[in-house]
Amino acid sequence: MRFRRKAADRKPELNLASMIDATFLLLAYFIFTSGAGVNESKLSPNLRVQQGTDAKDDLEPQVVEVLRGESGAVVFRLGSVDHPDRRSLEAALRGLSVDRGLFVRVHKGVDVGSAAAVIQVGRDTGFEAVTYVPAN
Amino acid sequence: MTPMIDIVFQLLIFFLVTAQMAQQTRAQLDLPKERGEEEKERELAGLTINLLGDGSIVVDGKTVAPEALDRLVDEAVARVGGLESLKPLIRADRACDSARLNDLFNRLSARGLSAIRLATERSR
Repeated sequence: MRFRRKAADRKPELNLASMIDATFLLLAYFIFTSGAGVNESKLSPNLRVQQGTDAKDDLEPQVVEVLRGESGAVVFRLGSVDHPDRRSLEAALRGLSVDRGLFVRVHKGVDVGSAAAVIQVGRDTGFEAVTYVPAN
Repeated sequence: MTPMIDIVFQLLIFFLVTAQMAQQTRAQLDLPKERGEEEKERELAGLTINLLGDGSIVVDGKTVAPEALDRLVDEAVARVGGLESLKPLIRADRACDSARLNDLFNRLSARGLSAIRLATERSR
């Protein structure tokens, strides 16, 4: 005689493989999403600037004026010389003493990108202290 | 074949969702295309101010009036424990008129802040 086990006696089969798959996917999801939302304040890169005035001091400040020239194009004025592009300004800044810092005086009507370019050139030429001076 | 299709769809959903989340965490701005500086360690700004092309100021996803910014600065100073610890990050649209940025600098200066950072992005 053949005896068959009743269906109720059989243990239900649990497929562990798919459960582990789902668990690992959820784990990976939470790990990645917690890192993906980088706070905007932690985003790199950025340029450090000091905020200040170009009030007369004992030392004559090294000031780069960022303004619109007669032609309407943005120029970088160092002393009495207008530099039309950053390469020319960079060459001029290399002749200055980096210890005394650099003041970047930005006039209205100039785009922020040009102001940032001068700060970047100042940093690239070795000025540790670059001070942003609002001109208006 | 079925598990492979499962995994492919899961990956697709994963990348769609994470890409969307990363976009939402910051205001969409055309930042100055500069290399910036190499920082040894990233410092928390404590306060991030977005300056849009039209001159409006956005903080934490909300447009704020210049007067309201003073209150936010004071709160941030209190949160980080002093003026010296607060190094605000300004994310300004590169096409924005510097007059707006100057106003913002003057306002922050009036609150006693001197160390400010200007966000840039590397050109691709």
